[in-house]
Amino acid sequence: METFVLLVAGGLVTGCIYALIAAGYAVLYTATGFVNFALGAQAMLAGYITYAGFEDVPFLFRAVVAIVASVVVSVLSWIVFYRRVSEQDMLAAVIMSFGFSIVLAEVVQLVAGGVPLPARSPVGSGRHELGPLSISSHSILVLVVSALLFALLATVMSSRGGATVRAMFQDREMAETLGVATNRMTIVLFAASGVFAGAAGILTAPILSLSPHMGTRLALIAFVGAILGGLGSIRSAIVGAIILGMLEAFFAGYISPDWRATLVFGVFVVILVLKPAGVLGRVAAVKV
Amino acid sequence: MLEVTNAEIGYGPVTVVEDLSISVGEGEAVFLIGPNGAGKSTTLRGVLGLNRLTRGTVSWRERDITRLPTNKRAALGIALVPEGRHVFPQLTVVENLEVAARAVGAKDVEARVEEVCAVFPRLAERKGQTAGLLSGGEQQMLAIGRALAQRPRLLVIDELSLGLAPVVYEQVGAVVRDLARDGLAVLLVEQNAQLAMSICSRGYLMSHGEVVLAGMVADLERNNQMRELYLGGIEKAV
Repeated sequence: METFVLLVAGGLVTGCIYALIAAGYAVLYTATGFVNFALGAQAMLAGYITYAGFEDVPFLFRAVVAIVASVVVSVLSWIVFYRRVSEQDMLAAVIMSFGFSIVLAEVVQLVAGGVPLPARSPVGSGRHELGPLSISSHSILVLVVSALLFALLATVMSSRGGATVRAMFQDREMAETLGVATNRMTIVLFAASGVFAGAAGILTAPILSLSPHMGTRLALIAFVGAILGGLGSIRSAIVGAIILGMLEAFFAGYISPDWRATLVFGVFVVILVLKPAGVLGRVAAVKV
Repeated sequence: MLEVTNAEIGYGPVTVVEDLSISVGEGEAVFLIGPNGAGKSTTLRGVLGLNRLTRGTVSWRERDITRLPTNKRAALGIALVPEGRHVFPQLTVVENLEVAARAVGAKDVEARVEEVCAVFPRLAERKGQTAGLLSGGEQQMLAIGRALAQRPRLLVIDELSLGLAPVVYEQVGAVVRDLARDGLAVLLVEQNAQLAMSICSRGYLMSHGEVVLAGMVADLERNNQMRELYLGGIEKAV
């Protein structure tokens, strides 16, 4: 029983981090059809800015700078290259984002070195006993911050302005015809995905420690999570990523931690074969 | 009010419309008719800026808007009812109307929603319903209502009756006819010539990307080509 509770909590924590990236994927995918694999690298970059050096600057300030950096990379990469390429060939743009994430990782490696660096959580290394559960302060921070961000996203999307965004998700050309500035709105969505990726990087570094290629793994697992739930809806992508975090924890706890990656990509293959729209997704109804 | 002059419009390397000139005056209702592939929808896409003109100009109230982006044309007062309705399926009826009103910067969004509901009482009954679950006729009402929520000067309609039962399109057609009589300018693409002529005062017959015939409805009704193609050649044979 104790193990079970521990695994649920652990799975929820990693799942939330995956979900932050997955939410970014879904927001961009529904708006543009583009999958930005560089979100993982943006998370890595934010992690380095927050934890590698600048110890005398207050944590909150470093975190804000890190998130701003992730937003800037997100928006500029869209405006400067993905947008143009995706208009011609979507697949090329997606592969390009992969390439860009490798470039970011290599640049960070040149600047900060390839050796993994420890990252100290802003809330310290304390633990809390909640009944049968022993949970670290950092895990609680992850849960609280992700919950706040998801709640914020849900509130914005269900607001009046959010209805315009949803309209654009459902029929971009029609929204454009009605006068919605879809290009500007897409830039705002890229910025939002940058905030989520930045937060994911800041939250994940104290758990995994910093390494230049940490983002690649994060990007891939979060993508599998988003596909598991359904990339076509923000909610399904978030739920799918959390489920994947849980599956991973159970697999590691009850079977073997060595087979984690096999599980993740096994799930990926099975979902793509059996239910490409995701277990929670629905295939868009064709309207005549 | 709207002038399309010597327009050449296509999709990438394929030219669909060649050297086309049409106009719609203030408060005037005009139709475009012609066989499939004549370039009617492409012409409308050119008017909306969804397809760029490779030659020629589009002007709106004496202003050249040929290069104006699509999303800036709605604010000028050009509203589209697209072929296939294109309502936002997962938004409610009211949300569809609100999004349209807000997209042109309306401050009186609620008043506009009520206005549309007065024109289409059926929509008033289904305000909270998801648009994707409406019937075809109701979706067409919503598509027109959504355009009206923008308080346009020109209503551009692509295929008003397509896919609707006669009872339903008569009903929707009557609403558009009333709007046109009250002075709203209409540019209508319509397969059903009888319906188009009952709404509009003037029309163009298109074929292979060109205007082959133009005139007032009264003259077109007497034209042999029009009669043969659209107004029941059988009747003439009898």
